[in-house]
Amino acid sequence: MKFNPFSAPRRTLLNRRAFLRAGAIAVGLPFLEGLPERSAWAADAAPVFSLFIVAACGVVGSRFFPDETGPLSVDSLAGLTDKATSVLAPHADRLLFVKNINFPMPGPTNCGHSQGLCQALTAAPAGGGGGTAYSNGMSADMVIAQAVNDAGTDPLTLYAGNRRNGYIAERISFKGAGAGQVRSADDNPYTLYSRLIGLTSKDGTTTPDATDAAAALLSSRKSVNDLVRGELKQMLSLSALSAADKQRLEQHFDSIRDAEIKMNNMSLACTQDGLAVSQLEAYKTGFAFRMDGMIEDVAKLHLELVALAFACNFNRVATLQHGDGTDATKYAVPSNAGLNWPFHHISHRVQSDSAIGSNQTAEDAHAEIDVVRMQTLLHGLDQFKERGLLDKSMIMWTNHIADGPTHSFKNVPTIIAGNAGGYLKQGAYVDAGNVTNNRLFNTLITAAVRDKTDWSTNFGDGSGSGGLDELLA
Amino acid sequence: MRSLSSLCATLVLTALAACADPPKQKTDTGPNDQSAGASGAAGESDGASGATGIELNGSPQHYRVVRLTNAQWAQSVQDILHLADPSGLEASFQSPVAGTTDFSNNELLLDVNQRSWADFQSAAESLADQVTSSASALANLYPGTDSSGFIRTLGRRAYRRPLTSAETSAYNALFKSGSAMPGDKSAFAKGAALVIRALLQSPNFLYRTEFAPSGEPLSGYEVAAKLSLWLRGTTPSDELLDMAPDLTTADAAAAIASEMLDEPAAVTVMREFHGELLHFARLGTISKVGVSNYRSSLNAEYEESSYLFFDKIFNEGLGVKDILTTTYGFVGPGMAKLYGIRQTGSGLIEQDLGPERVGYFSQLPFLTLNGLNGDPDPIHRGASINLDVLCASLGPPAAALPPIPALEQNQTNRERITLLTTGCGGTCHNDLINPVGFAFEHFDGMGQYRDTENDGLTIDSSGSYRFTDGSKKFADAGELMRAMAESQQAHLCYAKKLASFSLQRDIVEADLPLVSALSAISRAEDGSIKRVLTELVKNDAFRTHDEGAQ
Repeated sequence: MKFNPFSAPRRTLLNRRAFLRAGAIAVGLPFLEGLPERSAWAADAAPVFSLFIVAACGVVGSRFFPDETGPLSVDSLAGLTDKATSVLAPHADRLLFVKNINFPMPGPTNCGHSQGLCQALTAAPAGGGGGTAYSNGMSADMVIAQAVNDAGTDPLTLYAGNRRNGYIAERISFKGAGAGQVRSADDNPYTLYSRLIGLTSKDGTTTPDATDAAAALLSSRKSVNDLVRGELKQMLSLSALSAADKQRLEQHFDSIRDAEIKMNNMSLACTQDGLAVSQLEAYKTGFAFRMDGMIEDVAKLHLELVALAFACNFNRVATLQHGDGTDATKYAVPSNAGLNWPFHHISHRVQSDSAIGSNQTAEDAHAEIDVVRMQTLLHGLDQFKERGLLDKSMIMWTNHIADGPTHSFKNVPTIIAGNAGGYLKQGAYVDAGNVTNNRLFNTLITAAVRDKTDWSTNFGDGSGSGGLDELLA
Repeated sequence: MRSLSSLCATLVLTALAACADPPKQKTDTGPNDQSAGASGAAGESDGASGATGIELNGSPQHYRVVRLTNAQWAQSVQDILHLADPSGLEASFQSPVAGTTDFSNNELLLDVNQRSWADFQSAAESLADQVTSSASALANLYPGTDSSGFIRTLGRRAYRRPLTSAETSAYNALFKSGSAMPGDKSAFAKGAALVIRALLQSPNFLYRTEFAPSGEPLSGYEVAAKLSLWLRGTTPSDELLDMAPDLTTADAAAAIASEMLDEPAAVTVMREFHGELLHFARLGTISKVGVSNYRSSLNAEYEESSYLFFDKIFNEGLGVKDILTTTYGFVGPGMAKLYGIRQTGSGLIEQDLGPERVGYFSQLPFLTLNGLNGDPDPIHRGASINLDVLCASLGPPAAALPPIPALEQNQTNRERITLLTTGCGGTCHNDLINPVGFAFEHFDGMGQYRDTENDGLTIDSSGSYRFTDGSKKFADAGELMRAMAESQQAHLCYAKKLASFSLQRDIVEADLPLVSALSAISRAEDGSIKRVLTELVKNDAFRTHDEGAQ
């Protein structure tokens, strides 16, 4: 089967996750732990879960990856103490480091941060620049979600950073090309937590009361949805509507989905174990983002919740933007003690949002921040491992630029964790051969959707086509 | 590192190329920036209206269905359901992506997708459960026990018009279905709960609609909804719905708008407008390094001071001229020390800040935000005013810029920046950004007034600016602000921004008649913001549906 993300109709399977997202909390039901499809875990069609993380402001390239490509082992990686990725050594046998992956644009034409963000998951040149930058294509997470999620449920879209600053936040997941196609992200981890909590239990069992309550809620929802759909159809019949109006209402219509109940026991990994529940509950009210390094705590919580969401089969795809284009976090790393600069200025090596300097202390601070961010990734990988997901997932960590001073789109750091069901190579640092990231995503999309369809489309708009054999197991 | 000249060439070429990109381009380099240039080339042909010189580009879709904002949804459900307290449910709703449009209430951002549908569904179920949880709670919402009256009353509030007979029938059937469902509540409560859930998920509630034929007046109910959601931030009251059928004339709509503009809710709405227009959220992100008199606690004072300033401008019937020229401002205890004035108490108090402080942009919040540590930042001061107050077309900044060199002995900051930016040949720096920025050179990076700099060097804050209606010379920031207040450009720009916020869409060349009309009101002797808004309500652009380019 050839899958074309731009022409394939959305699958019409009923989606019980939409039900779970809202119902369990809204009507005060006990845990509805049995509702998600057990079929997602069937041995004959193993699912692959995909998480894409895009971090901010580049890395210090000379102090990030090993100097040489080749096999990775726990011991060999742990020994590279001058490299930020050595932090990931406990998972070395589940890691694939990739060098020489480029974005399609040869370099930034104005704000490299915004243009990099727009290319990181789309593999298409960005349009515009600065706060109004936009993508020229659908992002890989959306393509995968449309192929593998029930009824094309959209991916989880998460953000660790300061939304209040409002500058190039939420700019990695796109519905398509052009202005207005960027997808909003959740910055408060409590939001996803509140949607997941109804799925979880300690023992994976379902009570009769929960079953009855869920059935009643579902029945009433059908009545309401029927009425709403009728009203939308009536609106859509109005001749005064423009094509844009109709498209907007059709999207609304498609967003209304019924749920169905098929009670099965689910993965025992779908429990609250490992969640920082007290921290999450504290964010129920008064989530106020601070620039003092809270970003890492938020990112860790997001990663914990993504692992839970995957374990509960709540969604098979997620993105996490880790920091905004001009990230103002003041990291408490040793070399920043004297500078006290925000991260964006550190990445520029001068106290500026746009000028480029050469402050060596700032470079040292950047390298230390890279270590901090790898520790955050390590926390996420631990969560995936604990839930038994590393063999069923692929977690890609990248950046929206290669490094701070140049804002280069060449050799953008790429880490892949998890073998995507045995499809991807593990325990290696490989050279992709100076290719654009469309070829990387051709490989990753193929891995992610193969239980549902074959991927043969050339994703994005880079040079060349096909996947990367270097990444295959 | 590339040479300065090559960087500058890149800067100019880049800006010119980027100007051709749709949608609108906007320079925004963030706070606390020590860069050589915030923008590339400029020119009135660069995305600007040939008729006015202000930037008028964008991608309006002229939607007939625009989803309520999260704030409008929250206040509406509170009023429809007679909730004593805000539900707070909207706090976890999906937020629009900021920064892609002038204002976050732009039509382009207000749709219903999978995530927001789940938000609305969940919230509707929660609220229905809450208000039908007991007989007393339900009686507070609707005192009777007749389903038809219940549906008619709540339906009108939610749909912002009476229900049609077909809609009433559908809801009666739904009520009956809900009454028969299992559960401990009374049959009436169960039916009512299901009806509430449907009402709050209906597209007739979630979208503000304009179904009038193109170019013809909106229905009275559509006008009532548009006015109420805009100026009160909520669904029309029962009283407003009673008079809605008569709101089809310009005078009737303007009369209601005038009343609304004097209500507290309008102040809240205008806070949103001015806060987004001038980026007050960024005041909370100010940080300084090595500045002894800076405290992070000042940030909250700066933010509240800014809101109070614009509250007063709006409440007291003032306008753009006053924003640019008043010497009064709101001062907290930390700010008082920096201003060098005495103040007792912990709150923010209105004070006369003296003759050097002319208008909002001569006050601490703006000056400190656009200051690099203790030094003034003329590039960002100039760029911000050009973009936000004068709607000048500045191209996007180049990808990388050289740092500002250290201040040399016997060199003023102005000389340093001039030397750096003159080499670029950037028209925007020399003609637009620098003149405006240099006017504020008497204010250091903390916004404190100074007569000299760098060990006694004289400060030159004079210059000239090429307004769209002619060049004007000035000696300092005060004269510049007064010149701006008299210029057509500042009023056109404010009118454009206000129209964009009020009509919830991008304002483009085709809107010039509206913008010009509003600008003329603003520029008049008694050009208050309230008068401008009332004029906007009378205008066909507000009272009819414009198809726009399809």
